Amino acid sequence: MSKKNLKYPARVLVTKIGLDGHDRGSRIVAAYLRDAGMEVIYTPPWQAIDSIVTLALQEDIDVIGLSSLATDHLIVPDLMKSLKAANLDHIKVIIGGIIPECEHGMLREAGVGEIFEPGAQREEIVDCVAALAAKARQVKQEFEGV
Amino acid sequence: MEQHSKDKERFFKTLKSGNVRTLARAITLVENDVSFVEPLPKQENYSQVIGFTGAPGVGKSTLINSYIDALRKSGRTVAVLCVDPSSPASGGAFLGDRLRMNEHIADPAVYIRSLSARSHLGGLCKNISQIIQVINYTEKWDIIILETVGAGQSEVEIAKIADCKIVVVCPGYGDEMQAMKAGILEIADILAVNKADMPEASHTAKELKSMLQLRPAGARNVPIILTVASQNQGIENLLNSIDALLN
Ligand SMILES: Nc1nc2c(ncn2[C@@H]2O[C@H](COP(=O)(O)OP(=O)(O)OP(=O)(O)O)[C@@H](O)[C@H]2O)c(=O)[nH]1
Ligand SMILES: [Mg+2]
Repeated sequence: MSKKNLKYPARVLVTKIGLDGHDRGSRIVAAYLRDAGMEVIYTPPWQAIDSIVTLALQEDIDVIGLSSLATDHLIVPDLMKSLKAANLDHIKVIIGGIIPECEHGMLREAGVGEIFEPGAQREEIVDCVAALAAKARQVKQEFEGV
Repeated sequence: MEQHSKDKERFFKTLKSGNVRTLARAITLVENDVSFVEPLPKQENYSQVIGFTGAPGVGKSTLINSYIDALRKSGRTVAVLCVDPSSPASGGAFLGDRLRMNEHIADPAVYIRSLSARSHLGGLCKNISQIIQVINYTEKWDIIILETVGAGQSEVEIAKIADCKIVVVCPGYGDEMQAMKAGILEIADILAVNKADMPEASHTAKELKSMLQLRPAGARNVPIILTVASQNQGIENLLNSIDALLN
C-alpha cells in the first residue's frame, strides 16, 4: 500500500529529542512503518540535535519521525536549522504526540512536514511518511545525479 | 547518458574524498542495485573486516560498542554495518542495533550503518560484499565491523566475508550449545562468552573448551574470551586476540 511511490524501502529515523524518555508512542509508530514495508532506524531517546543530524547523515534517512509528549517539540525549530546547515533539508520531519494547537503554526513555519496528534490513524501516518520519503528521494537523486 | 556518466564520475570522486553523506548514499544505492559498483576498481582491500555473529540477544551490539571504544583508543577508524532481520510479511524492518551503540555518535571516526537483511538468508544482506567494496574504495576506514542478524545454525555466510570471525555466546542458552554443535563453531576464529557476570559463564566456557577438544588433531587454536560487554570487561583481551589474528 505505502510502497506505491517507492521502488525501494523508505528509510525512516524514529527517535526522540530533549528530556522526555517515554518511547511507547515511538515504538507503535515504528511498528506501523515496518509493517508498511519501511526500514525504521530506531535509537535511544534523549538525542541531542547534533546527534540527530549525524544519524540522518550516516543512515541516509528520508524522513525523521519525532515523538514529543512533553515540551520537546519546542526545540524542533533548532533541529530544522541544523539540518539545513548540514545540507540535509531534503529530509522531512514529522512530529507525533502531545502538541498544543497554538504551537502548530510555529512548527510548520519552521518546516515541519506534518504533526500527528493522539488518535492519528495508522493509514494517515503511513501514507504521509511514504509521500514525504518519495519527495526526499527525488531531491537526493536530482542533487547527486545518480 | 553522457551527463549521467559525468554525474557518476563526480559522485565517486566525492565518495573517495571521504564525504560521509556520499558514503551513506552510495551504500543505499548499492544495497538497492548491485550494478552501481561496476565502475569501481577491484583494488586491494584497505579495511580489515571483523564479523560478530551469535544468537539473538547474546550481546553482539553491546560488545561491538565496547570494542569500538578499544579500537578508537588504538587510533583506528571504524565503520560498522549492523544487519537486522526484515519482516517476512511486509519486507519492512525494525533496525535497533543503534540502541546499544549510541555513545560514538559524536566521533567522526566512527561510521555506523543499519541494514535490513531484506529476506536474504545467511545472516547478512545480499549485497554486503559490494557495500564493503564501497567502504574499501574510500580508503578512510581501517576496520569494518559486521554484525549479523541474531544467528541460529546456518548463518555462516560471514565466514566468506570477514577476515576475523567472532562467535558470541552467553550463558544459559541450552540450544545455543546445539547451534555450536551444528556448525557455527566451525567458523569461529574467536569465541566470546559474553555476560560473564552471570554465574554460569565459567561452565559455558568449559563446555565450549571441551567441544573444541573434540576436533581433529591439528585444528587451529580458537581462543575463548570471557567478556562483560555492558561493563567493558574483557575487551582488551578481545582486541588483542583479534589483532593477533589479523597480523
Ligand atoms: N548481564 C549482562 N547483560 C548484557 C551484557 N551485554 C549485553 N547485555 C544485555 O543483553 C541484551 C541484548 O544485548 P544486545 O547487544 O542488543 O544483543 P544482540 O546480540 O546485539 O541482539 P540482536 O542484535 O537483537 O541479536 C541487552 O539488554 C544488553 O544490555 C553483559 O555483558 N552482561
Ligand atoms: Mg544487535
